[in-house]
Amino acid sequence: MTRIFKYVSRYKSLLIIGTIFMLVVIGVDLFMPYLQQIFIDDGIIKANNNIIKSALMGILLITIIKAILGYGKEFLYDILSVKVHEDIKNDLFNHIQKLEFKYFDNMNTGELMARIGEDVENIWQTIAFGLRLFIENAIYFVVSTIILFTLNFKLAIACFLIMIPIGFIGMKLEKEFGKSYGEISDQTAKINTTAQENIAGVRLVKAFSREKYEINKFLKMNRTFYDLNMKQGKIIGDYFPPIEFLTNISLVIMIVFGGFLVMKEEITIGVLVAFSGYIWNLIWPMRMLGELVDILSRNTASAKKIFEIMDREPEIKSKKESYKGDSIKGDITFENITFKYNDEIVLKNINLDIKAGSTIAIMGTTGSGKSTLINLIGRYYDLYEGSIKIDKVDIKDYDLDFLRKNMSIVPQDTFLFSDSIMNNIKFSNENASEEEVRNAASLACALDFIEKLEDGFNTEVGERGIGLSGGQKQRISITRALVRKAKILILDDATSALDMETEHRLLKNLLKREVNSTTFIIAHRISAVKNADMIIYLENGEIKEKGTHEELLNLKGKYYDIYCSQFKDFNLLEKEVI
Amino acid sequence: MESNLINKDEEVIRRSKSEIVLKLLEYLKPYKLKSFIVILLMIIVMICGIINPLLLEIAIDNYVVNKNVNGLMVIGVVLIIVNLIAWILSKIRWTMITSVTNNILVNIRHELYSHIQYLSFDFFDSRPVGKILARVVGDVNALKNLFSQSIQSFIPQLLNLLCVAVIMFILNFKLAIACVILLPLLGIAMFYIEIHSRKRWEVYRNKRSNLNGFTHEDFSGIKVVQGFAKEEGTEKKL
Repeated sequence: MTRIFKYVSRYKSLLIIGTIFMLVVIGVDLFMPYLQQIFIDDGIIKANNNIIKSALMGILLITIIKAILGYGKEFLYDILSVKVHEDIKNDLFNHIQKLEFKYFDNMNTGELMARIGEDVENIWQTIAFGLRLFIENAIYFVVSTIILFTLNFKLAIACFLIMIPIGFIGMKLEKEFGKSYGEISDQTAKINTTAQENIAGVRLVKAFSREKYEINKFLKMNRTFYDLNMKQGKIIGDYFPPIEFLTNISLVIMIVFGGFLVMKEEITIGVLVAFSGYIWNLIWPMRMLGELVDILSRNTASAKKIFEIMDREPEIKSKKESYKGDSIKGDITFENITFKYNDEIVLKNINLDIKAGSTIAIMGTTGSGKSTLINLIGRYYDLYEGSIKIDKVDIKDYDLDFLRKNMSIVPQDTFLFSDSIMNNIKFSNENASEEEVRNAASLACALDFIEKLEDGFNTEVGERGIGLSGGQKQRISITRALVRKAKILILDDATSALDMETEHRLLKNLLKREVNSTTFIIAHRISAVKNADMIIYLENGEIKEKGTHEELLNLKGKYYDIYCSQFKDFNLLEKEVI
Repeated sequence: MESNLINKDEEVIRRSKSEIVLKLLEYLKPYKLKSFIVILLMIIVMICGIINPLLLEIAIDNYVVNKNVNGLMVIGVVLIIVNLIAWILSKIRWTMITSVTNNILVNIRHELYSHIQYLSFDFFDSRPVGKILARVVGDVNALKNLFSQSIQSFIPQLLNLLCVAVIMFILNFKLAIACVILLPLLGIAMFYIEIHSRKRWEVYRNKRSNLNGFTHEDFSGIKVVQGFAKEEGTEKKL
């Protein structure tokens, strides 16, 4: 809660002015009965026209003040909550973005979205209303307490004795609500995750006609959500009525006890009547206690979830005095790299010395650590022994942003944003001219098909590039990487959906680019890796073979085997064609 | 390809208000009896609440002034019993109302989700995942207060208004007319507010759904975003 107040305190002026308005409204409100009394007693009964007029004017004036300031109060508090909501949402989003890949590996998108969506909105809905309610009721409570005690001490004490159990109920209620709202918030995240996975994977669901199964799965989630909400409703049913009962009873006790005091002539009947009038100002805040606790718990539960994420420091970040050069050349060395992921050794004893501008091809079976190896260069994962140096500087000493801005990566699973092809490509380099984009597209063998589209580069593609074939998406993704003329280029199995001929043409284009990048290519076809300056064959996280195409063929090892099998197929194919 | 981008608002099919209200009321239909009981319980609890000051006034006027200790005690006991009844009844009321609202929400969410499952690819192609998600979770949750409040506030308040109006007319016809004259003005103001706030809310829900779409893409494509060190660029979009 205190952390939310830090956000609130950024807008002190809104809060202070809003509260002043509120105080004025309350003050004016207290004045109203007095005016009415004058209007009736002095004006109407004594038939004094002047007093009637001025009293009416006063009532009118008060009503207008109340309307204007009341509006101002609501408005200011609303602005406050919207601002706080916006700030928290921004901070949370920015923070999540800075977290490392490993966090996303273990975290569902749906859950993160529930935190940013539902939980932050919970705070939005409760902060202003809760604050207003709290301040308003606190004022009424304090003022009427003072008045009650000045009216009669004994009677006031009797009333307060009743308030003690209400306080206890409030405290217990807070505990129960807190737990309940925590559970509800978690279940919202689960529902979000289930729905998100289902909608994102709807093609799969339909392909296997699993709609019924998915609906039932969701229904179960939905029912749990129902149960949790019922539990929360039961808490309200258990706690709200007794609070109401006790507040009513305090009134009864006051009158009965006060009646006795009047009979014993300890107080006058006038005091008792005044007392019964003011005690309402005390009873209302107490009645609102349940609602206040409700709001407070909802707020705290959501805040807890939000700050749990905020408190998780990104594991990978720049050092305090990080290195930021003008540009990098692209010499890369791997020295004795051993990498573990969840205690499992993924890479071990990797030693490589790569010259700037050279092309390195990486082959190997699935799970041999190919992607991991290249993910280490941009520090997407960080937990390894040994060191990786770019231009003789350890990558951990670089400014992270600088390091990544000097790289261009085509990830294994193609991801395009719901935007035009042009904007998707320019994502890596906003300043790219149209000519540069066209050149890059031409290198990536994408220009032809893009121009054939009805809207060309302005064609809008959906999330995950729906509407295009796998190969087309990959080529757009490669174009995006090429538009940023970075000194390090990484193609993580980025040509898998292309036919052999296009793949070959594309890779050949890469070699004759004007920008001389150190290029990493993960591929499965000999034809794709043949021309590389260095070919690495990985197996179980270790480099088994390393060298040029010819060197590896002479070695007659794994690479040779692959060559033979692919070559054999090729021969067969040729024979069949003939 | 016709596509609904994250920075574009969805087109909402215009429906008349009465149509929407009727549709929502249909969800209430299976819970007619329960809703009726809830309203009944509410009225009884309300009456219990009114009895309190009424009896206390009698207590002061008749017993305290006349120093009748027994009468005062009797009223005290009666009031405690009345409040105990109110306690029990309002507990039942709370349980019932939560069950009705949450049942309706489960039904709507389930229906919506099942319906989405059987839509064609075309629907999914033209909408970012985050936007559909916003409907299934966020928008359904937004309905939560509608049902509980329409049963608990709207109908009882309407009854309250009618009762007060009738009493006012019985007490003094001329004065009542003077009060009622202001009502059309109030009606016009409410109508105006309704139209405006509805428009604003529609914009808000659309923007929220856009934001949801954007967040979803950003998190799904985090490898691309971080891969190009474009966190700052996407931050600004938010």
